[in-house]
Amino acid sequence: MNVKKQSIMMRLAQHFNRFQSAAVYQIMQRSLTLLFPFVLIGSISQLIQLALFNRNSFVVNVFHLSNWLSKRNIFQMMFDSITSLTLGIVAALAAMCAARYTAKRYKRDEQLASITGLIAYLILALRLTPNEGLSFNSEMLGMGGLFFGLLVGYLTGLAFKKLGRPHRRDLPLNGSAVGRSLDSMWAILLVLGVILGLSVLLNWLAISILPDQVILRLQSLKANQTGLLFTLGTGLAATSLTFFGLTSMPTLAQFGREGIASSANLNYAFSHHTAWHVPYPFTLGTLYEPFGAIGGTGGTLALVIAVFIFSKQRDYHLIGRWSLLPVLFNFNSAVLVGMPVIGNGLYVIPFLLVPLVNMGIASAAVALNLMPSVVFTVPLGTPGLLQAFMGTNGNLVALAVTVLNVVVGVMIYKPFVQLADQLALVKEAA
Amino acid sequence: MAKLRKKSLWLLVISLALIGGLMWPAAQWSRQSVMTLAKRHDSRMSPVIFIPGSSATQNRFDELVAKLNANRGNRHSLLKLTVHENNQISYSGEIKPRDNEPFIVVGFENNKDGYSNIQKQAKWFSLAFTALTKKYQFNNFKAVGHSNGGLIYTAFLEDYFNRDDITVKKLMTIGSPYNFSETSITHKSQMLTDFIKKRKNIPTNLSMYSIAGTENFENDGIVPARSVEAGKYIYQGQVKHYTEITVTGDQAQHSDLPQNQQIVALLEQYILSKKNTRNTQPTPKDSTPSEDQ
Repeated sequence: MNVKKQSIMMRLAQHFNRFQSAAVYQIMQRSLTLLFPFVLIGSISQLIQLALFNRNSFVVNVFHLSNWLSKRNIFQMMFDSITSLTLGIVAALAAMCAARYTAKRYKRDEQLASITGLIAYLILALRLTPNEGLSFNSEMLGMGGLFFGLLVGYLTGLAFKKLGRPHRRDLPLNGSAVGRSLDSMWAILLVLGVILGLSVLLNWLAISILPDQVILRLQSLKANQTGLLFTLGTGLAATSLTFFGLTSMPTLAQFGREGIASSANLNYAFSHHTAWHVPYPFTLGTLYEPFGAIGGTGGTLALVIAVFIFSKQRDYHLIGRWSLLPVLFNFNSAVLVGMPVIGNGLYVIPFLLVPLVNMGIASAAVALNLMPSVVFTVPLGTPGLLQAFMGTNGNLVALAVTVLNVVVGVMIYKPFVQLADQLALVKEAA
Repeated sequence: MAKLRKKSLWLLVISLALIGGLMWPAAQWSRQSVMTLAKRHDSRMSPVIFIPGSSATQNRFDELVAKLNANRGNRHSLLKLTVHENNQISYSGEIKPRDNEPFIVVGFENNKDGYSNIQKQAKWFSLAFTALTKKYQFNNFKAVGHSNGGLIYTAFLEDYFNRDDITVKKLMTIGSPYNFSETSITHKSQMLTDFIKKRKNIPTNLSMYSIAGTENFENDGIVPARSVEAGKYIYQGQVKHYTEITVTGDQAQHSDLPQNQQIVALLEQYILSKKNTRNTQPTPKDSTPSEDQ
């Protein structure tokens, strides 16, 4: 058994190694890790803003702080701005980093490439309105636009490779840099021109290239869909979109909060004074948020704990420690970008598997009448571990199932965290 | 290596202990909140909340209430609120126990006309409304606004009302000048433009009745019929039902409208619940189905 498992892991490692040596892959992963500090600051600021300065938040509600808060609007605005200018523009920054690393790899002018990448992505996110100044599609700029940010950056770098001249290294600092800029002129013009055309086209067609809206529409279209399979399928779709940097947390947080099924459940619970045997026990609202995303999409809390217990890499431990606080409150962007998890072939299996297994365990517990369904609304920013507990009006079995879910998640992540260790050792030896 | 792990695990244990410490207050909170919500859910109270027009006080509807109660055997108790400029609220009258359809009138110390005042009054109304929801556990209410009262309601529904535990079932505005004194829709007032811009915030399950009075073919002495009619650009297509009714004849003058016998009948027919009523009016065939439990 153990031998067999090891051979499977070895084969995975080989595949992964081949994958890892691709240039695109290295550029993407490196760009993501560079963003970690900003994403972390943004997440913590978002957490503070949401947990302390929002009237509907967990801390405020549980400790009755709302009167104290109404006089402290300034803090909310402050943290709001910090979040918007770090986490809120992370896709644009990703475009910048990706362009830089691509240009560097092909020995082109990295500074100009990174500026071009940034501007190109901002143009793509531009919302063309007749009577206002500059306005951007904020979803495109945030975590949800990460994939397109990296893509635009990479393509910008490629344009520099094709059209630019190799970097002149020996420029004196006091001399003119015009020649250097001119080397890349055609690349800059081409990138900005193409992206402007694309942006105009998108604005004209009034469509978004982000799949968020599709998922949301699917979810509201199928608000009556209450089958377990639909729930698992949508949960899987949302998790895989997150894995590829195609969607963001705010969108996911709306999952299953609305719709006929959830209000029918709530009505039932209020009129029968119990959360047991509600009409729709297996919806997104009762399963995905409280069980399928403990610590954020992909059961990130389990990943962080697995790193703490099994990893031998200093970087992993440090990233886990820094991100622990936001992750406990289900803000996982820092881990997704820092490890990185997004687009990382190493974690694709557990990242998609953990939510499914967790939701499966929870629905089994409901089906076996071990616990009631999670139907009551919990305040914003409730810690992931307490969501099911509070959503069932303090049912201890629900809490136990949450803990069990985390333990199972840690076991699923364990071999992959260890594999990462081995790969790091191999790389060091090489 | 062991040190690295030890430090991380300590951090984890401490954080988990902190989360564990939150368990007790969290459980307390959810118990409390579920209890309040269940109470609201079970509540049978469905008040009618009136807002008077400009220059009128919280006593504006006394005559109307007397007429309604005379028809219906004094079932409805009357509570009056006045919101002062400093956001303080004073109360008079009371809601009798076991009255499931009390009348509540919300007046304002500053009851002047004009768009900026209407915006202020909408904010004051939202304060009064929040105070009422805290004191009484109703899960739905019916809204009646006379003249500018209808405009205040529109501003309130668009800017302040976003509760998912309370529904506004019906709204009746009586002679409300949605386009102020403009007699033509081609010239839209700033207020009407704003109302139309934000119309998407109005609840879609609302049944809306807009009543216009007319003394002649143009107006009710004060408000042009065209201005009342302009309400359709806000409500029609956004709410579940939008009905326009024009009342003419005796007492169709703007200020007489709240005690106009026809309007009293319309209120009984469309706004008030019908159970146990001694209705003196013949019930028309096309009346909306009763939604009360």
